[in-house]
Amino acid sequence: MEYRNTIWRYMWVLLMCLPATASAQSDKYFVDVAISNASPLLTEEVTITYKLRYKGNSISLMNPRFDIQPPEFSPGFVVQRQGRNGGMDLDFSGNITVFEYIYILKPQKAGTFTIGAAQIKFDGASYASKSLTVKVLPADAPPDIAQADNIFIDASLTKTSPFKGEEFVLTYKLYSRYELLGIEEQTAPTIDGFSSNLLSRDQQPRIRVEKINGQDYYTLDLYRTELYPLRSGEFRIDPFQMTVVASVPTGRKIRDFWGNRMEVRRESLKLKSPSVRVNVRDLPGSNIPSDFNGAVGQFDLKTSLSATETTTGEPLTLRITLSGQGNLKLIGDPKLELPPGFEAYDPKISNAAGSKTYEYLLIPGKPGEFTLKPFSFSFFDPKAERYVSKSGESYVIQVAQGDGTTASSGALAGLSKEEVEKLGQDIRYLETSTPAFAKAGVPLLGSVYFYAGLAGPLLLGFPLFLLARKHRVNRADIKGQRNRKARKAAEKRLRHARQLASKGDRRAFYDELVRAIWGYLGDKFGMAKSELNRDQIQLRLMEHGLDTSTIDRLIALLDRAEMALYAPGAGGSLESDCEDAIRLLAGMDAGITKEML
Amino acid sequence: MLKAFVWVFFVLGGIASERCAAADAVPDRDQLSARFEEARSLYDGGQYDSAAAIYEGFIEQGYRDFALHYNLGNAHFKAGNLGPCILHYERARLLAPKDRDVLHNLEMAYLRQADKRMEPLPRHFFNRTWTGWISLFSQTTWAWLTLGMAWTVLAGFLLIWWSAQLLWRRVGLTVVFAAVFGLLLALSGAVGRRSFDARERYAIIMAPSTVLKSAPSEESTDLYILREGFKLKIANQTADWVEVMLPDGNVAWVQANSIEAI
Repeated sequence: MEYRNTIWRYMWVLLMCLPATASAQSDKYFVDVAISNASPLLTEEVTITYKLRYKGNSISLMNPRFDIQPPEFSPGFVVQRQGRNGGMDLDFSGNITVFEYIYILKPQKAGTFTIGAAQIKFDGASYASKSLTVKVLPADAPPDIAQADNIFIDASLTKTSPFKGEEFVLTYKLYSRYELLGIEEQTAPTIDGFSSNLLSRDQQPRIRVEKINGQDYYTLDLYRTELYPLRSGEFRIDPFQMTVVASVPTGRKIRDFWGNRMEVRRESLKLKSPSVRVNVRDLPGSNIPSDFNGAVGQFDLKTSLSATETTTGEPLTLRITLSGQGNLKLIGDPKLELPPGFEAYDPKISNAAGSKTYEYLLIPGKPGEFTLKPFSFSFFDPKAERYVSKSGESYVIQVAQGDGTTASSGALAGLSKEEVEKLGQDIRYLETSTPAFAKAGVPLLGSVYFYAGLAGPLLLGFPLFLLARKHRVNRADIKGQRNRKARKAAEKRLRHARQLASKGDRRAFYDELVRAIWGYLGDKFGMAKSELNRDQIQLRLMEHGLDTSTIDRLIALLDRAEMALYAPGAGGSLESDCEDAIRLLAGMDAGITKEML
Repeated sequence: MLKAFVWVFFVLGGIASERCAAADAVPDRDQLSARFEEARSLYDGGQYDSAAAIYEGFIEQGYRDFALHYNLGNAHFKAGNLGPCILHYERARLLAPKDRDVLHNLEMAYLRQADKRMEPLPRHFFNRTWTGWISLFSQTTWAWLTLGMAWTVLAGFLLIWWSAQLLWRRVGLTVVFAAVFGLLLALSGAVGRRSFDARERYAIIMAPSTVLKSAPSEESTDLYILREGFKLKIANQTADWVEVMLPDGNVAWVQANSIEAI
């Protein structure tokens, strides 16, 4: 590790030739301590170098005696190897290294440890080194941050939250300000939950120079892969790890034969990319087309049929081409809906960049005209975030009866029968009649209405019983009924009579008038028609207290009317007789009813 | 006396009809049927989820109709949601037990259900006859029959009271006897059907698969695993767990949120 410049070696020889001027002075000696890595990983070895150095122009060391008392390295470290180097050396700052001790340590556990001072005895004097602080990092700790600015691996995704099945590209790229000398090892992460397709990589990695923030970086594409998420959810892709060999400046300037430059060291560096997170979104769960089979991207569909006229047994070729960008390789075979009687073999699939072609051989089995339904293909368009359905053309195929298929010859060839073929099974269609849009009500059973409906007959039963009884009593009393209805019946007759009068039919008028009066009297006194005569009536009316003038007028009216019936032309004016009859009826009824009450 | 009875009757009847009228505040029917048609065109266009959402909306608004549940079941069937599909077909069947379409589609849906159908437990003869009898009509139909019989009894009595002819009075007496018998039958049918409906409650498994436990706790023994769409009889219910009976008569507990009562 120690840089040794050959030119300075010769200079050292020259120096040795100079006369030694003075014996060793204690203040000119000191112990320098160097550690290869102050923050190693638990798995890394650490080298600690103690150097006894001399500052001055000349030195004479004829028979030097050295001894070291190392510090306590435990509990943090265990000495793996140790060694000493007695060669006198002159470094570029002009200090002479008299002697060096090297300890190669193996860290025992993570944590911060202090390594105390080492004592170097030389020429009777003792010189102490400075103490060191070492921070041992866990084995999986990220690389040193100071180094990360100068050399690092960048991980980039073209999409951080793709949809399930949506392709995106993962790229790991090495950026370095150091000159790259080689790659010792590299480990690409294993990626679960994705289908990956490694993109073509240069056979010989090509180093380019890119400018970032005004600084030149060497860049190297390490790994480029297309990923298709297979599941939804949060994913963490493990870091890309590699060990590169690079020329790392030590930070010291050197001046040499070719001028001033930075001292560089060939170092192998362990690098680790950041781990990337991918949030895979699930495809929308609603309105998924029934023929969707996981295609995500933007596609176009083309179909072609070799011919539209054929004979039975003569195959046709249906070519379906899907083209576009997306997970074409991952989608399953499309389902072909064949017209009845057709058969198809498994498709011949040919993949090309950005397209996929299915070739189906269709074999018609029955003659006739068939419609090949348009082939439809659905995919999810992640840009528009919706499902898109594309369909191809629909073809009408004329199939003629081929020669080869009808084996039977003779008159009955055309009558060969086949079983009725059931083509499919499905649920029945929607109910198309518009519903009544009634809201669910209270169930009738147990509701108030139910009890009201039950109580109704009971409550109504009693009044209806009373009503019916009264009806029957009334019906049994026929006389009383006649009596009650007498005036109404008479009035009805008189109204009819008046109508006849207005028509001028005298005979009919008087007939009706007589009937009205006799009917009234018969009803009122409960007498049969045969019992009715003038004497009886006069007697009854007088019994009911009607005055004689009314009775006389009644008799007179009857006489007039009967006269008119038998002798046409007799009788008074129809109107006055009618009025007379009405008035008499009203008077009689009032008198008789009063009497009866 | 008579007038007072008539008055009371009409006042009561008037109040009842008033209340009925208030309950029937129907919103715009044209709008509803337009939306119903829209769901059908979505279904025809293959957008089964959107169609289902419309039917679902109707049902959430409180409309209860055979066509809504049947069509919703169809949309779920096409969208591949077996659990809701069977649930709504079963609800449709409750509303129209003899509709052939729903019976056919329900059969198709159960064919898709992943579990093999279990042999149902045989019922006792008497139980079978009684169940067959009360299943003849729905609760409401039984209730209407009861009311009809009660009024027929009254009509028979009126015939007896009113009629003078012996023949009619005999007819009335026969009607009264027959109607009283019918009233008892209908009333027992109504009451029996009501308790049957309260007892025979079923649920459908809505989760893709559900483990049935021996007791209402997570720690209890796993008894069965059933897939989405399985029909179970509800035997008992607590807040989070439901005791269910399998068709073969075995009893187990299932978490309430993984099933939905029909």
